[in-house]
Amino acid sequence: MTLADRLEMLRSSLSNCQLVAFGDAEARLILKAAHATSMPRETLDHLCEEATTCFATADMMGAQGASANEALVLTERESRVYLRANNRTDFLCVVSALSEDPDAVTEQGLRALHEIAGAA
Amino acid sequence: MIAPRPKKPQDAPVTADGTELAALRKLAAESRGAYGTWRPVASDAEALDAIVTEVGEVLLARRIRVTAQDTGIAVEMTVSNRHLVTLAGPQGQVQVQDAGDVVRTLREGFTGAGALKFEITERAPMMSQTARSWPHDALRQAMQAPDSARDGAQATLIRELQAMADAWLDLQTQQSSGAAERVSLLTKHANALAEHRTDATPLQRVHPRLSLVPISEAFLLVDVCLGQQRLLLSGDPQSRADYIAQWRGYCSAP
Repeated sequence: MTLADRLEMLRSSLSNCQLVAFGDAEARLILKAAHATSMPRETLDHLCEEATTCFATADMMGAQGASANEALVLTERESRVYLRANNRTDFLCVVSALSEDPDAVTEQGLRALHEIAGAA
Repeated sequence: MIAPRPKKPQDAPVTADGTELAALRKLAAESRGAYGTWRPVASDAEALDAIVTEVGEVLLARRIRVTAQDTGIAVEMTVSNRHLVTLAGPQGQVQVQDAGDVVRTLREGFTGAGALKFEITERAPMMSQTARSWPHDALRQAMQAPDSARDGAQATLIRELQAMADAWLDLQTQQSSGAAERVSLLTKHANALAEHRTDATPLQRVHPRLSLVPISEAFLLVDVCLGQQRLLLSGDPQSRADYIAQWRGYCSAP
């Protein structure tokens, strides 16, 4: 299964999921994204910047354990879950409706990330 | 056979409240609103009104630059058929989600303008077929909607979050509360934010958001951004769901 297929599989398995993206915080780049509607590059760049900020904050404040690899950002309409594996620079971003349960998103997102990161 | 055109109501009287009379008055009035000239605005409300009025008067697609004399802020609006299609500031296109957002962005961006200058920078600009637009009427309605309910919801949210937290630091007022060790950590984070913050232009509206970053089993970093106000809080990771519930409650408030 390609990276694109895995991202699309995760997106379609979550209800009200608008986007799933895989990126590299060090390169500050979204490498691949699955989304239902067209997504401006600026939006992807912004998500990458947000992920970088969240994980840099966690590292700066000495975050430890599994929780150091998760961050959640809520806006007026969206819920954005950022996940990384073992403090690596590559990360997964899942954008869903604000009403979505972030724990369920995190659980499925982590499973997908381990498959992707394990294969990388 | 071609159907006959309906007769024009030529005999209809021009009434004082009729649109014809208003249009004639406008035509006869001194051309103080010409493109490329400075139009003094007595207040921030008048500046906003002038910009929204401009949107309502443009039928053919135009890209119009609006410049504030006293602050030097300039934006480019793409307007067509009395709809605002795009709004671009010095850093590129401004992301706005609804008419209220457009109005808030313009209000914040054109505070203290003093005078405005409207210039047509492009005739028949290219527009995306899928572009979302905001009609003049919706902008006008958003201008008249009171912000007091939203302000009340914001104040309530801040109070609730502060009550839930072990410690907090308000970046705007520099007020803080809670254990010194936690406040110190929050201050360290605030200093890092200040170092990395790029100078946002007034039109780069910061959209409200709540970030939850777990630091340890006993420390959840909560970062709340509500326009000009930003609050850092130290919370209990076990209360994560409560923070989310508070945020959802704020977002669903009228």
